[in-house]
Amino acid sequence: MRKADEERFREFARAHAQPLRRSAYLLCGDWHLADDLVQNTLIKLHGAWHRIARTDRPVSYARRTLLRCWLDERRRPWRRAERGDGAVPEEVEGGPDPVVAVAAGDLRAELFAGLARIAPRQRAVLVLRFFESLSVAEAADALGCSEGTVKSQTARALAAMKTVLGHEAPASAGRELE
Amino acid sequence: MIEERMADRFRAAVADEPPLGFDPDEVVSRAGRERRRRRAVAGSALATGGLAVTTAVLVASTGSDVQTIGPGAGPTGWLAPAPGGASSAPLRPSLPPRTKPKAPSADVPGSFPGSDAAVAKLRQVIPQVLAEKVTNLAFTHPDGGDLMVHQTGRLIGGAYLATGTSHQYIQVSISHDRDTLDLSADPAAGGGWGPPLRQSTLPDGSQLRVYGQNESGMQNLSVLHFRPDGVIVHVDATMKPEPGRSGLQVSEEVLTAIATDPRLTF
Repeated sequence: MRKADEERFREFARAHAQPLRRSAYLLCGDWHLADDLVQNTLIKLHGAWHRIARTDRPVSYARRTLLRCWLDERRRPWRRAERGDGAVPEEVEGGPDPVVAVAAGDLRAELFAGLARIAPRQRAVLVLRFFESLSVAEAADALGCSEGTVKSQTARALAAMKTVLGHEAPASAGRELE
Repeated sequence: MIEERMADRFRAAVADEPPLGFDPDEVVSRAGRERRRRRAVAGSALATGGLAVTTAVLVASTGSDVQTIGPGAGPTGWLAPAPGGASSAPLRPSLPPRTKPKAPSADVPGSFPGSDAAVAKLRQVIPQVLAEKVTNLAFTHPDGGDLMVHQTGRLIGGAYLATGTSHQYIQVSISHDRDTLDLSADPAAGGGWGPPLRQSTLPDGSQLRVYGQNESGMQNLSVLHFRPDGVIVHVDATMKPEPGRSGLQVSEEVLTAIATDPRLTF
């Protein structure tokens, strides 16, 4: 890679590592694994940067690579063997108010318990559509599938999540905590 | 609206994000170093190949005895040094030169009492079992290198890439966390797998469960053997259709034969 390209990639990595990690965390539920996924993604992107840099959508490419890294990771037996008991993946640390912190931890546990019940690609659809605010077309592009598939997966995933989050009042506690 | 609630929950879940666990600059530097190293290795392999061709031509023309390929050759693709040690040129220049297998990657550390001996045994046994049961394919280790050890659940496993493919793997993992039949360790309990396609109890009291997934062309078939002594063998075929190869190249019966092979234990 030429020096100018490498510098551009460095800037890209600095700017997008954190947002990518947030998405990775919502996919996998573990900040440490999210770190690993983003590092793997950046390494893969580095190898293809000469091609990506010529497009006007490097972020879209990065998102797609991250999803692929995560789906590959899910297929590994040592990941599958981890017992999915719906436990809270991370402790809530610090925070100005312990009551708020505990409530946030409960909400997060409930969210990840719900996400654990749905298929990985459905979880990915939810993250892309409702965290990254992508359109159906953009989500389809990131997942490498049709828009119809995104719509049907979204509907199924939301129906499943509704049973978990359904009891909650419309003005969610999550918003109150922000 | 559930859509708004999902967005709220996602935002709340990442609100107390910890600092990045890595330095992006350092990752970029590492990626650059790795790329340069790979290029150097590729260049070296090419040079070795050229030397091999030259040596083979010389051997043929002088009528010397033909060298034999040592036990390191075969499906794993590594060549043993030639007898005598003076000339170590491989007879099949298309194969890479013998190199030391990579250590397990640093991001999946793990060991447990007895894991070193178990890894040493399984490193030999798994390829043997695969060679015997899967007669239509040969396997090489994928990028990951050596077997992986996972402390949680006392698990050892590896993914074996079908030679000549880029996305056709058989993954074999063996775990032994408890000393009795351990159905609670079924990884499908974590969600996303759907119900088993089949499950049955074998005469020895062990249980077999078969799961299948087909997502975006990526086919996956998993056979789990839960043994009465607590050992769980998980054999998993992941196949992405490639030019000239479509669908799973390995049947459920073959995966079952691997999973129930008594040699697959610690």
